[in-house]
Amino acid sequence: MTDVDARALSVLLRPSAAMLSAMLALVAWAGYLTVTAPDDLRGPYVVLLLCQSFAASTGYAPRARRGHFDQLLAGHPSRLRFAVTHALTSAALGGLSWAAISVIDALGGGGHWPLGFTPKGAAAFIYISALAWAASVPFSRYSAGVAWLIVAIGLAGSGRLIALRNDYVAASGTWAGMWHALGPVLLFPPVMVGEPSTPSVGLIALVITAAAAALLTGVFFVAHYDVPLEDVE
Amino acid sequence: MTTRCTLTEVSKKYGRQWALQRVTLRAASGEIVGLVGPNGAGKTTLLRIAARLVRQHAGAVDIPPGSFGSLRYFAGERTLPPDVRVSRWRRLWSLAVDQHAGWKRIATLSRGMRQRLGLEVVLWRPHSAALILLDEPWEGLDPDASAWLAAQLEEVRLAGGTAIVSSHRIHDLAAVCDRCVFMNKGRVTSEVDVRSSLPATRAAVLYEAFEQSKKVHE
Repeated sequence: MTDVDARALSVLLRPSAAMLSAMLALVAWAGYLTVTAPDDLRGPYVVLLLCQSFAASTGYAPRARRGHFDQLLAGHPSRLRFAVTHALTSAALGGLSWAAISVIDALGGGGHWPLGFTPKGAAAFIYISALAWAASVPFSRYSAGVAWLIVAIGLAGSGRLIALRNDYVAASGTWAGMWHALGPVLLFPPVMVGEPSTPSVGLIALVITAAAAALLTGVFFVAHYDVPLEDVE
Repeated sequence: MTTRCTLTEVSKKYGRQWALQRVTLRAASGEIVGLVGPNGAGKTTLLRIAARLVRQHAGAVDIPPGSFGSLRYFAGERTLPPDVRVSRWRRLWSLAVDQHAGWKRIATLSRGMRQRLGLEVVLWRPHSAALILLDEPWEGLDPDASAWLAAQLEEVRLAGGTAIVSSHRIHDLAAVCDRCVFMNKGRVTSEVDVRSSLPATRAAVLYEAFEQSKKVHE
């Protein structure tokens, strides 16, 4: 993947003005909270996770079917690096915003280690970025975000979101407890950031493993699946 | 002349239908090769296989490693990203920014302007290692732009580059191509070298070959 390819992907996958505004608003909200409630910036982090499920969901197949990536992919014997660059570019805006909020958190929070840079915060962010990107690869932009929002609303509407949260909080540090907490975390990752408890290292490792599995699945799809041009002869 | 691109016995099927069956095609440096055939002949699939955008089910694609960075492919204006601004797209590919249309989004340009924008990217600074694959490049172009395209292809030839051009516009192909390969129903039916023909008779020669090629698999 050359420099031109990376720049081209940043042009093709450019976030919408609405998404840029949302991220800026979150950073501003974090800045406001450092003045009014500097000890608790969980709100901006949790909402950023929701925004990232949309922002990282840039989609691949429909654009590839229209030929938008033709000039980048033509002649490349391997699409692996293209796929990885696509994933990184998709997650970049959310990553920058996450880092900005974490820096604000560190500067305004009286010297405590920012939530965004803790293992559980980083794991939640990486997992949701990888999952949103990978899930949107066969579909269009924002598809993974919409799907996850529907799941979250469904869980909240049926009262199961509270149950998931309780399962996560009640989980012990044993293997059994870790597996018990894994379901709620994979289904609704903001619970890791929203709850003050510290999950076990094993649980964080499992979340990172799930993120890696999602990323590899997306990369495999891009690298090995030929998307035919829409009006191919 | 050095062989720049060789496709040997290439076959490809979509579902149960064969799009290409044992197609062999060679293109040398300094050569412009035309691909002619009715709709559904497999021209686009063949170009996409040569561009490594689609994998063949059988056969081999041999493009010398030095050519990979120089392989350029354009399948028509509909493959340009509609929501990107023209100036941004031109800057990305190191083209001079068009002051008149620079602020516009690609989708707002006319079809011919979009086609020319895409062609400018792939035909920019041709060189001896360039392998340029064009699918229906004359679509939407006005006479001036068509003449510009012919001049650009001539530059590719003079630079020692290679171009494979698929088109239905036999008159335009006759003016620029050294050789035309005729396809029908996923197979190569014939090949005509027009270098030996007089310029005035080239189009007639190609039209006749086209009519013959349509009958081969009927």
